[in-house]
Amino acid sequence: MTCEETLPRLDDFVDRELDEAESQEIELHLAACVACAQEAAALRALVEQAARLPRTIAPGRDLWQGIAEQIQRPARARRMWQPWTWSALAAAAAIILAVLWWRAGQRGPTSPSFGPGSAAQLASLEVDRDYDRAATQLLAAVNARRVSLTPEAQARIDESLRVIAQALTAIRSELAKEPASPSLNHLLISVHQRRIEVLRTLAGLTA
Amino acid sequence: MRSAATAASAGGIIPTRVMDEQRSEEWTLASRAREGDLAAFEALYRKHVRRVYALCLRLSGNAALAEELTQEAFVRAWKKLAQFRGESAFSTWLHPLVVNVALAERRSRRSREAHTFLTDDIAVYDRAALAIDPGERLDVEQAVASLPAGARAVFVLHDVEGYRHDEIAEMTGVTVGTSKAQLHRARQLLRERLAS
Repeated sequence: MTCEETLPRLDDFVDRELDEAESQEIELHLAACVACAQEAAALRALVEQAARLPRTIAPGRDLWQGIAEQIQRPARARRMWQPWTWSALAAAAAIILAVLWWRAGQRGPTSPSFGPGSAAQLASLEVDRDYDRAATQLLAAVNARRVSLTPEAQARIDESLRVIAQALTAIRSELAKEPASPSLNHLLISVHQRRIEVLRTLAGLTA
Repeated sequence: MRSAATAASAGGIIPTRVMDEQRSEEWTLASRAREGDLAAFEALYRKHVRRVYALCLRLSGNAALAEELTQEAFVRAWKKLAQFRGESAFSTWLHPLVVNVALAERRSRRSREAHTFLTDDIAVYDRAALAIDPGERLDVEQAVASLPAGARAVFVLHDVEGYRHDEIAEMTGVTVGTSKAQLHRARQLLRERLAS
């Protein structure tokens, strides 16, 4: 066997993938050829070095949390979105319709009023601020959970909350014109309560 | 040469009885995990993460990417647990899946062919067990990481992990001849780089 015939087979020879007859031919050549023998020795040394490399290496941080989050993400997203997403949007739409209905009602008979500067009116303003503070706190809890949601789910949350905020703005705008209106004040509280309910669900505080 | 199954038992030095017990324990954990028991899957993760990470690190040559690949591989394993029937060790089932995840990522990011070995990557190898001289090991790891992706994958799978060419061909989608050619190329390049 010549060097030209031996060298292309050295990998298989070192890996013991040649049959016995071929291996013996190579061994005979290596016994007689210093250059090919050195080549085989260098190859064998490299293979042995590779085999001695550590088989385990610890990652620089615990990767489990990220894995667990990814595993749980679809189920949690489904739990969060299937029951309430469309009902929240429907509720927000109903609120806007109610505001529109109320505006239309302005052309009808005058509603009974609390009277300007009444205690009930001041209490209503205080309740409005309390609900806003509670909503802000809940929103912080919701935002903390955002990382576990898909971008689509996050966009749908934002859209739902935007619609509810729009309804609140519309009601407040009407209240600025009719601050003593009992029906507008009731509507404001009702929307606040609905927003709190939605945020509590999103924050995982309810089943 | 070592077969992949032998390689999976950390060098083939674990007694058969112990291996059977380990396999039985893993089968129990996998069965529980398949029914949604996350704690059971975490136990499997803790047992295998170092092997999986080492494989991902060497296939990608990048420490941060290896962390992502490790996470992706375990998430994929969770989804495919129904396919593990306990006929082999969990690692024998898991490692080809890890290779698929790592190679699929490589195919999607061809631009990383010319890989740069980062300082952070070198530090990662300090966390490995000291099986050989640290300086020598680092030289080899650096040289392996500098290989072209295809040659690196075959070298890692064949010479480090102990897979046969037919197993590599099946995992990587190339022919046995291509696998052998890539291994020859990798060894040539490594010898040149380690000699310089």
